[in-house]
Amino acid sequence: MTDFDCVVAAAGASSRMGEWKLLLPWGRSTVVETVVENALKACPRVFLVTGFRGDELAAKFAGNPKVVCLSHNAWKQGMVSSLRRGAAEVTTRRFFVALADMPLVTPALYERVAEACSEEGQVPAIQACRPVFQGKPGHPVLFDRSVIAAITAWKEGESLKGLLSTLNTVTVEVQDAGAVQDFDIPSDYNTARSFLGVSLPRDDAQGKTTGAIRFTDDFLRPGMLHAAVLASPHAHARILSVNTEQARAAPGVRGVFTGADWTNLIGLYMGDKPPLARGKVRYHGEPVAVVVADDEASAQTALRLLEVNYQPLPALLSLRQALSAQAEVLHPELGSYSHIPAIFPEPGSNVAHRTKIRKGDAQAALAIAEVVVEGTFSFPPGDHAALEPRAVQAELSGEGRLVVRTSTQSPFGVRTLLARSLGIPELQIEVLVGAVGGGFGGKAGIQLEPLACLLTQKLGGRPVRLVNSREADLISSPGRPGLEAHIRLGSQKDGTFVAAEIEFLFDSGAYADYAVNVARAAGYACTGPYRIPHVKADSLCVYTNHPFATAFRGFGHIELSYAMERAVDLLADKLGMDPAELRLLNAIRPGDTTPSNSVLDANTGNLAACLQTVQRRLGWRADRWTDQQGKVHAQGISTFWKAPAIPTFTDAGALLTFAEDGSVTLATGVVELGQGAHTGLRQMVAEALKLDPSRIRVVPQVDTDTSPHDWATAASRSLFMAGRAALDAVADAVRQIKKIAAQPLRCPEEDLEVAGGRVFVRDDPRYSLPLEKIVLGYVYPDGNAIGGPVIGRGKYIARHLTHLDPETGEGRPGLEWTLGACGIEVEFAQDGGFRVTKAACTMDIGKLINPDLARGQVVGALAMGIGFSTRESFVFDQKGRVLNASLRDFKLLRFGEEPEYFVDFLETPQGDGPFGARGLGEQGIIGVPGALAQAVSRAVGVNVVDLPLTAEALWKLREGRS
Amino acid sequence: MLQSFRYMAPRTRPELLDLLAEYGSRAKLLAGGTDLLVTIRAGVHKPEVVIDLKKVEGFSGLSWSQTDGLVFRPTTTINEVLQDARVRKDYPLLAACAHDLASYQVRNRATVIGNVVNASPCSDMAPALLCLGATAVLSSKSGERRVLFQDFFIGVKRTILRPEEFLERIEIPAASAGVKGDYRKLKRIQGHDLGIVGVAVALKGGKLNIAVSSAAPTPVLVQGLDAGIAVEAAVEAVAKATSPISDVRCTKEYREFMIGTYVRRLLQEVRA
Repeated sequence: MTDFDCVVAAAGASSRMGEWKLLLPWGRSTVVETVVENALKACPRVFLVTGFRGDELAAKFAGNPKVVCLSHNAWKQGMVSSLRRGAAEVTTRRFFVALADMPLVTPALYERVAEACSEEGQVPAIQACRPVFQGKPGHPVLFDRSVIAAITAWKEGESLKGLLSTLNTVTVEVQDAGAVQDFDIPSDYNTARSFLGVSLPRDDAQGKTTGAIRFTDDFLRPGMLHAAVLASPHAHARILSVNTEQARAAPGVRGVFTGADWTNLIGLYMGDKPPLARGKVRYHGEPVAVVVADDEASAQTALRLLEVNYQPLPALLSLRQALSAQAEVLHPELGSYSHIPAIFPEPGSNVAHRTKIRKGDAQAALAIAEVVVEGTFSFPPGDHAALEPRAVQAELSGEGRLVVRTSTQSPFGVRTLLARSLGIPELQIEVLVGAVGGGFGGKAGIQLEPLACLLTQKLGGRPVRLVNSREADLISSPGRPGLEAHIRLGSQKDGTFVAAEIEFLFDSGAYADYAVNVARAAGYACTGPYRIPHVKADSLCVYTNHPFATAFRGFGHIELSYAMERAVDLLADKLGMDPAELRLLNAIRPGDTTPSNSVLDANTGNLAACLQTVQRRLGWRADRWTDQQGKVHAQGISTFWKAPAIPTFTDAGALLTFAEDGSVTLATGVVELGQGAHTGLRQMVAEALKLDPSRIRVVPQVDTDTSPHDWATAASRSLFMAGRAALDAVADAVRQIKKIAAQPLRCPEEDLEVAGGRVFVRDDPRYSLPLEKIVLGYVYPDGNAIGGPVIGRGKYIARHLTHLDPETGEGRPGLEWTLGACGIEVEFAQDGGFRVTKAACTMDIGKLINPDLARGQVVGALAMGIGFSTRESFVFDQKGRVLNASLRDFKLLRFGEEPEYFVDFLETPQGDGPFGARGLGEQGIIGVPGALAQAVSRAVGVNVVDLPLTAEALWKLREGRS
Repeated sequence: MLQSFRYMAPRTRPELLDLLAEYGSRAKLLAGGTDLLVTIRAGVHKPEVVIDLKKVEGFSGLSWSQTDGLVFRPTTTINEVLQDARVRKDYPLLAACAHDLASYQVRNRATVIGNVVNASPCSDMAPALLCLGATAVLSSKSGERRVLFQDFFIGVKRTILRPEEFLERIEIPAASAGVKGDYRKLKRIQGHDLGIVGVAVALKGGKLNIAVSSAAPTPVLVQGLDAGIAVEAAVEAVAKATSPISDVRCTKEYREFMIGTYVRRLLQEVRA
């Protein structure tokens, strides 16, 4: 934005308020600080005109060189006198005037006003510009410095309105009520005070930065037994024998177990996996045997005494090979595995699941399409590399219940699946989850828990600790799927898409886990956010002898996006069109249908605006250029969408209780895994109760015995669904509060309002009671009591979702579609290595709850996407063994490699989202591989088809080697 | 992986020599520990005894004299080398190699001698020491041996050091001061990483030395080329001396290509 000074009038005494407004709490600071902070996001300098208690304000901003405090003795004369004082100091061509008691004036409003008055050469020249909301004049007001003389000379009263009526003032319609929202009495303040769009610090910030927070493996205690797991060195082999004799005799050893010890089959959506390999190993890293000992060293020592005799078998390593009729069937028992009805395994083959999409007639449409492109795109499997490796402790309690403390995204899912696979009633299982050090989908299913539980059952219920080393976490526990995609995309000559034929082969590795549903998600979203009338797609989840795959951030959408965006780029090349233009032309809009023929409703975000914002942030160029140091630069742009791949009955519960001091506790089933959902939920409750967030706590751990049920902390749905449940719980509590308070306040319940920690009569706030006198029951002066504890009960369940038709894919799978765009700029050094210099992402998230946390999620996702695209993949040898199963060779993005990030949010409300919000946790990663591949393709002049984009891969591409 | 060992910290050189004589191959020497502790954790080394060199008198720091040249001792860290004014001024190739070794934090602990006794083919300090004609001084109870570095490495992770011996000093001749040279290291990421290949070039008294890491079982030296040698002849000489393999980090072909590329660029740079 052009540089404008800003004059903030902060001189008044707020006589009607009863107390001085400017230093009342607001957001994470005070009213006046919020106003200045907002102004400084839009303007480089603020002149704060102070009068009443001016010294305090001067002291508050003394450390900020961008804020100049101007003391104004004549402040009692009114607004224009303050304006005159400030205008005298202004040096910019135009300047803003804002009020210090209007904290809801956002930086976006400044931008909106500035844009409206940017038309040059208008006659007569614009002298002032004012925002108007529903006919009411608002702030900030932009002045041209040519009017300073008029302001100085202005004598007729001191109202701003009077002054503006003498100038050539233009008005700009705004949609944001904040432009007119001030507050002169306390109930206005309490009602207007918003806790949304405020960057409250995370609930766990202090605990995590000081190391005080305890993760699962911090709950060690004396008497705990330690398990160590022997992993298969082969990708595919028959287990001829396991000799455990020596290990059993080793000091400290309490038990040695192999696959033969149990007959259970475990699985998330399909029970295809034994707790330890039985008869055969199907991937490098598969657990084969386990030693339990008094301490970790004894367990590890004994592990080396195990003798396993393998007969190596040919490994099935390519997806095409796995699908051929001659391929060995890795799961001959596929037909007998139990599975959920939403997946469709094909027994007798290696297909664990197939989603079919048949929309229109793609074959016929492609046959007559004016332009058709075709391509095959792929990448190998990889891993999440969450900071905390998986860890679990299991034991039988005194009364014989199974108590499991684990690092999971899915406490209730673990309970259900344990019950099912171990044959124990759910009542006999308690799952405890505290802080989790990152999941990214890798902890969304069930992982180490069943084995730990089986071990404690074998060992008299003693607590057993089972923890992955980093190396085991990389390959023994599931990673993300690989992909091979084949796409034919057809358009008219003008670039309008007409049809697509899509095949996705997901490499699920040895077991299906979440990958079956990943393939399903990629199927129903297969086209990306484009309007394509004719679509035929087959999305398959295929067994191979690679490490098995589970959910990964983006869940099918990052995979489909990479392939589809590459195809769109091929088309742009063939048409000679700017790739951004081509995307804009075909961007999906409300009223269009998805591949599963569900209509995008009025809650659909603004994809075109996302794309345009990213273009603006990048300074979009569709060419390649060389800088003065001889470095080659290029940009890439992509769009993306995501709908959570959740069961149709996905639910969330919330429970709101109160303490004797009126403070509030919200319990949910949401796990805090670094995403900040608890902080967001706290803000929503604060907003709904109009109560300072410091008086609200969200229970940081989940205990399946006491926490309300919640499907899982996955699919970017916690803020949405637990948010809805929390709001429902607040509404329920407020109803109870009003019911109780109506008696002592002697008024109808519907006349009452709850805000600022009080319940009061809406039109006569003098009649009020503090919450602490109500929430545990009201006690009359004579001792009689009424009411009882207020307990807010909240719930939410996904609405209108349906299964997909097995033959056509028709149905409504998506709770909401988050739309966005992504942009990348790369810089190539002379040795062929490149650096990502810019990464931009704009998403339409409906409503911004906590800007810093939202930005953090997106920046993290972009970084993860860069790692995904450039290096974070497994490297296999010819026998299917993972060569880079350690962080020494599985390289993650380092701090020094981060690009400059540009993160923007649009707010087209999601009607059914809490306060209009939709999910945003995963989405930032989705568009990165496509945008990065486009940028790199343009820079090197050859089309990228495979990831990761290592320097060597690019060298081979340029040399034409395969 | 956890495993137990005895930790010993001799204070004097004779004590150390006694311990080495007693434990020999059952002992491992600890200086910075940046390689040793990792290999112990991975179960590659299972020493009975770990002997810490950091408390031995006179084993730290670096010095320079006209007779001995630049001298590194058993606990001289990479960062000490980088911070030394004489190194920066007179031994730019040494500084270039040291600067490409791992990260600042690791360089605070990692030692020059540790980097070479580890004898990894991808040693970053070896190319500089080879190019500059450095000598390794090996000590044991039975006395001292002096060898040039091209005779020090004998295989992957193998040196001529005997079990009871340790590398006490590295001497870089005073005559190598002022030698023009530089190092290029190909990595998978920006910042610290093990080298995919590393090439060092030094121009010394009308002769050209080229050393390459990660391109053969040991770091390789091609020495005494004519300073004016044709670029492609130098590339060929280096190709002949090296035998890169394919591994998790890259293929043989890419290594060959990048070695040639770096030789060409470095020649242009040092002869400019």
